[in-house]
Amino acid sequence: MLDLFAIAGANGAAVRTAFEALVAALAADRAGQVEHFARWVEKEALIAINVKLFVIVELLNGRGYQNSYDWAREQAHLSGRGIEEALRERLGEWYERRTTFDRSFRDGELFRYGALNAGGTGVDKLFDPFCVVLTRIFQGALMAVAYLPGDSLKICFGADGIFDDAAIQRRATPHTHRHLMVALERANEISGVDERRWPELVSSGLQYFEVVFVGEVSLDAVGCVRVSKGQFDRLWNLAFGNFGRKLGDAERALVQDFIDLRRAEIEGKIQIEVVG
Amino acid sequence: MTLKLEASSPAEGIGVVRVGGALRLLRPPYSRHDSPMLTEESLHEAVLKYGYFASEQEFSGWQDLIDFLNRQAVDFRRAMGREIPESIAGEDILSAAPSQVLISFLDRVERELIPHRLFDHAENFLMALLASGIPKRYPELCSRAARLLQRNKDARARAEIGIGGLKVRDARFVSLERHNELEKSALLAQTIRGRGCVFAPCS
Repeated sequence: MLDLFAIAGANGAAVRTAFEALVAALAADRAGQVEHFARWVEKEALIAINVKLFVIVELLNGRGYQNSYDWAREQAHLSGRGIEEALRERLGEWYERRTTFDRSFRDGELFRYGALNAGGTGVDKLFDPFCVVLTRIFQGALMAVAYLPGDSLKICFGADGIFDDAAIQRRATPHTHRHLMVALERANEISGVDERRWPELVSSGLQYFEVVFVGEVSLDAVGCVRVSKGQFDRLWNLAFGNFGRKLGDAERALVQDFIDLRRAEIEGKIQIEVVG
Repeated sequence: MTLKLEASSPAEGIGVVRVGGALRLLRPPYSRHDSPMLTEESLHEAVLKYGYFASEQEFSGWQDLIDFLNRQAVDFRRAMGREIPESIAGEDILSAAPSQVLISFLDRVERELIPHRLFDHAENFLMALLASGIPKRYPELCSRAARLLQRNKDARARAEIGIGGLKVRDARFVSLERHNELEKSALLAQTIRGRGCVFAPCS
């Protein structure tokens, strides 16, 4: 069984060597820019997880953030169903890929997946439009964390669907070297992008750096929640509809969650940043 | 037309639906203009990365599918110990809304609801606003709400006079009669009244 975090730790020196080689090969102005970008990432980027509104309300209610295995264990406990049965039902045709990856690693069923974020609403705006940015304290206290230059399931599975750990062995990066890996991956794009848009080089709907970690995410770990203005307006529009007609079940569920989130913000329990 | 639910977020009544060859995100309030198209790749991501539940269920119409997503939201939340409230008090929404949102609500009353004769919607909102604690916090919103309430009342009165006038006029639908469409139009009116909305759910 592989140890993702040990692999990442062992790669640190190679990442630094590659970064130094890159900088040495560049003209002075571009080298300076790449180094500046790396320092900026180190200073600004935090771990973020895109979630649904429902999940944030769960955090506000004192529950922890669940991965698929936590959920399946809870289902098994509540309903008497088997854990694997619940997992298979939830993941459907994607069961093999998800479990093959996770179970190739020690503590794989404890993995939480996030992305580096240096501003903006994260990797997804449709399915999980609320970007939960974790605190620097939480990030600093993590004992098991690894960074990857993209989606682990794409990096480790070829077109044939066969798991190949070679990419992980080569590309997993420790926390201490994450900014160097980001700068290496984006070196060709930095100069063409205005510094105000550097957050998009770190995380956007098109490209991101995955963070795999083991650690309980509770409300204490949440620094702020970012949401796009479009999504924010959408939820207010839904709430406004409540004055004109009786909302359906799912609509009321969403509006109630949104009110709970806003109340928590007013009471200072959570910080919301509306972006764009 | 068969609709296949490929994945769903049961807690929020959201579904990834295959319609013909295309994938769409179906989410509250389940209107066609708020149902973005999705790529095949995003279906994988929905399940593998964003915690959607895979599904293979098929439905014969949009209303069946929407009913299913609503039931799923009720059942999922009940299992988690979180009942969906039967109704949401207007005061709860208003007290959670920042001032710029309240202003945008008033704008909508002025620009959309009153011109489109949605008088009940406008009145419900304005009355709730005036009866809430908002006027103390934002007195300027209160005076605007009061003006709009009067404007809404006047517009409703004018509209009712217009409807009253129609009653005494010979207001037969000559063209509909000529094209044998009168009965069909009456059925359509009944359908609209039944669902409480002129727009059909995504179809």
